[in-house]
Amino acid sequence: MKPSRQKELHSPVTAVTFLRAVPYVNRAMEITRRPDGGALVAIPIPRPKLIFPPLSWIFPVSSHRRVELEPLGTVVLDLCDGRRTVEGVIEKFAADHKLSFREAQLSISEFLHQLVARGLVAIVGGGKVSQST
Amino acid sequence: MPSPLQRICWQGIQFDHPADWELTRFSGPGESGRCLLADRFFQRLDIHWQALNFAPQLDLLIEKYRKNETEDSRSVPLEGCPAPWRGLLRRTPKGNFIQAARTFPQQQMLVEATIVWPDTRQVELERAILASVTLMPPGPARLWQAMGISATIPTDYQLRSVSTKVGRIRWEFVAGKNILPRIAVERIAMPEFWLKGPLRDWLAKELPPRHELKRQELAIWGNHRGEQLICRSSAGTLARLRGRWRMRLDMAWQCELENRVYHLEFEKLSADGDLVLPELLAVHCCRQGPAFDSASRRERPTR
Repeated sequence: MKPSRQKELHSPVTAVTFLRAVPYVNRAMEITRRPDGGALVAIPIPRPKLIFPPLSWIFPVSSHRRVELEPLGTVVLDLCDGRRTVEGVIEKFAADHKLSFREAQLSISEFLHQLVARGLVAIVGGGKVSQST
Repeated sequence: MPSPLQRICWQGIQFDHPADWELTRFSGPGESGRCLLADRFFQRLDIHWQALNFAPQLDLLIEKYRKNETEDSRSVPLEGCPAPWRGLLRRTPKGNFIQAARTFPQQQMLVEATIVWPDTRQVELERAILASVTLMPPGPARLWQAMGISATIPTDYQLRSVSTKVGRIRWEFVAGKNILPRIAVERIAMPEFWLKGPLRDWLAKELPPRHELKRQELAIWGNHRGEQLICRSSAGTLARLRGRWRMRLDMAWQCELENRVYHLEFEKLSADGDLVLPELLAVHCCRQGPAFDSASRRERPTR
């Protein structure tokens, strides 16, 4: 990795950069919708190299990481359509639920960070690339 | 197009600000007054106020502002600002910064304001904000208006705590140094997600343990239909011998216009029976007059 690229990845994200970045959902994940509005998301994960038969028969390793989303989480995930910026996602969510921008910003920013950490979403743009698995 | 101005009333001071500047930091109980507002990207307005036991010299204060000047900034006196405000305009590559101060001699109050203009400076708006900064008039009740809540609280009740969880703002006031009597106002967002059943069931579940429910009924305040319940809990052996209980009145209503549930609590030590709410207590929603006020409650029969 080039030093400049490394520097870019580790540079602090300002509020402006984050709001203007675009969240993309992981195309490889599978979403199973639940009747209550929530969803079960399965994200493929690489199989560990040292776990092979017969070891894998004794210690079965899942090929997917499963994440359960509440109805509100599913709404936010659906808003990440690859066209809206983070600011756009917050604006839409705030307008739909009669929240102020700040109220929505606090919860959605935190939630998007969690989605990135779990590999559901990658946030791209504004000079910062946050890579999911 | 400039956004309309909104008013914040907090700890005895009131001022206007553009609607898209939101309160991000505020002074709590026992602290000198502060309100910090930010837009989506930047801090925009910071207002400090404190009572002093001497008359501050604004010249010295402005000299102190001038000392904060850096190599790439240039400060000039702030011209045309509404009297008696005085201050400095600091031009930097990152934008314009206004630092201004004024006193309220009668109340011996010093107010300092910092306004940040990251791009174009809006002089008219700046002057409107500074001109709007006033102290709340003295009286038996005081308006508290911030974070979406607007409530008139009797002056003898002081702010005890503020809780700002996402979508759930709660202010608590107490009269004097004891924990009772106590008023709490709560405003909760997105009821369509968490309010799974009728409001009455939710209100009953919100009660702390060891509270004996005395009465629960449907009530109407203004144009809102809500629920109210009265319960009691033990206030200790001595109080029980004197026939006194911790009586608690809870009220909740859903404001369709704001899509919020309001929850009002009033608790005090009293003999078993009905609670008398503090005079002048009012919680405003829909911004069309009080949804609930203690005076109208006595006039309107509950259902």
